[in-house]
Amino acid sequence: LSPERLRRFADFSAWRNDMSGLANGLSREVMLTPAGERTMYQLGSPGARDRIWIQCDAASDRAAAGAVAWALLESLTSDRVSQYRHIVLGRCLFAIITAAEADGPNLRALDVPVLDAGTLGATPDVMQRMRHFVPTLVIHIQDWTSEEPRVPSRGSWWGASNVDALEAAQNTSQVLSGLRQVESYFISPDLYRRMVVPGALRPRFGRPTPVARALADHPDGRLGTLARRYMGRMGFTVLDRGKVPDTAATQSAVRVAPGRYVPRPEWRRLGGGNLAELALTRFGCVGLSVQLLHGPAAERVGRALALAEGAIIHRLGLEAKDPET
Amino acid sequence: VIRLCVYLAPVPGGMALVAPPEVVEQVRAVGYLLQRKPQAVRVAVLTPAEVGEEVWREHIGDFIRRLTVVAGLPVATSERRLSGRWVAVLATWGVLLLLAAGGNLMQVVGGLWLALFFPWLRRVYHGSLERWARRPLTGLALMVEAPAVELLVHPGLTRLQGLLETNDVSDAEANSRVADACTSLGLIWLEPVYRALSSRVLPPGVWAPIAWQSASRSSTGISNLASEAAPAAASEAATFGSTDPDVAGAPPVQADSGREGVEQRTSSAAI
Repeated sequence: LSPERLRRFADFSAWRNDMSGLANGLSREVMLTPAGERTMYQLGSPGARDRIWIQCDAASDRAAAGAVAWALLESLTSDRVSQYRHIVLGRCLFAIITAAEADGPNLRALDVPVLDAGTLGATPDVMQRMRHFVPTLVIHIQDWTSEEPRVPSRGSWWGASNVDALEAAQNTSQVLSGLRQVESYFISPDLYRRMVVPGALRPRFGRPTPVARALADHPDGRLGTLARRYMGRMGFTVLDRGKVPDTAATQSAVRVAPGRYVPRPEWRRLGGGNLAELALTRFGCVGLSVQLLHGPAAERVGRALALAEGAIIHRLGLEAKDPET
Repeated sequence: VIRLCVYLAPVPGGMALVAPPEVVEQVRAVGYLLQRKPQAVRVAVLTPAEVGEEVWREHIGDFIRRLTVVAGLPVATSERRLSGRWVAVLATWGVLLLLAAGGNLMQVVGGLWLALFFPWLRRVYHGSLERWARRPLTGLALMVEAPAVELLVHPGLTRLQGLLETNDVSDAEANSRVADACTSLGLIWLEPVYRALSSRVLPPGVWAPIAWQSASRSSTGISNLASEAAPAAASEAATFGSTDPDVAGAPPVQADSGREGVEQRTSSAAI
């Protein structure tokens, strides 16, 4: 991120005014939610084969999610010289959904669940528009950063008793900062059965197991790998490299790589793990849920943008210069 | 037939499908039951009077999927596990005990326990706990395949709706008043939901606001292309390959006194 850009985002509350300036002439639909208005912008080629749904949500502080939506929209509508923009717009139809305003009910995120059961973003209003849009790729950016005091609410399904795990993790500087991605794509039952065996994905003698190799070669699974690598090349590190505490929040998914999770088959079968899982169930599309876990706002925005950009570029096969691929 | 109830609750600004934590617990219990003995499950949507099926029918499928996921998630416990590092230290200590046993039987037994049996028992114990926690998911998967859904009118919800319509106060105050009235109207499980909303916190359990969509509006047509879009004003940020290298781009019906007044209005229908 350039210093100018950081300065611009210093006041995140101003992003909505910037957004309205960008969206002149774009197709847009306003949704009214308990958390205020949210807008869906459509741009690109209506007849394109790839239909990419990018949605930004936040548990509490909507500013960073709003800034991500703004930056995506700005980069797709500006008239700067760009390597990819015209190709991307010619080959895709985009739906970009902004975060809601900050005056709705907030979510006190205590222990961020890998599968949030659609708490963020999967509102009926959104699902109805998704049914009309029929996406082929869903990128759901979830900002779980909360400035609220961590007061556990009784009855909340991620439980009050994870305070200890959270504090222990923070004391040891282990997890819950950085970015976590939950990937939704079809996995054959055979591969699924083998990958949930404990230790099946752990390298043996420095070499990946057959299951890990099969997963790495999965055509849709590669999207997450390449997007993650792209994010690294953009200068954003993955901080989720330590051992993740085995809490209720992480037991519903298989950790396929540092910071990368795939829902376990039992939860995949239910089909409502998060927005991307619902989209996979309904439309069979690939989904990438990007969970931003604390950290400075500018860094969260940068991480989400880099990952979204990497996912789009690799989805369209535009990145031909990556020496590692 | 097992019957589960969710609420279509009136809230300031619209309606919301709500499953309070108690309903989530019920769904989890039903999951265990279905896993052992598959049975038919019917989901009853308790609504105020004069609310048509068209308001919620389209969304109930996704809501039930979300509800089953929440019900199937492992419950957080305060159990403190011995970390893997400590287990490795104990196992190493056990090996050292074995090496230095020198014919001492008790030391051999202790070494075998620490080096072999304790890690094995620990792994088996935690594995069985996790398998037990995942058991309801098999049953819940049967439930989401083709749930039968029916509509029931709840007079308490009708009263709540009337209360919300007559109040001329702020949303937080209205939610607080409605929460006060919940118990007397046989909607004791909805009280924490309204309390949470009055304090601007997402309610516990599962909820999906649905009637706000009727107020949504479209500002322009659908098919405006990006090429027709007005260029952005000033822009120092650039993603997508910018040339600038610096940027990147029933209720348990037992608890509800209003149960007697519940009236079945339509027949069930599979989604």
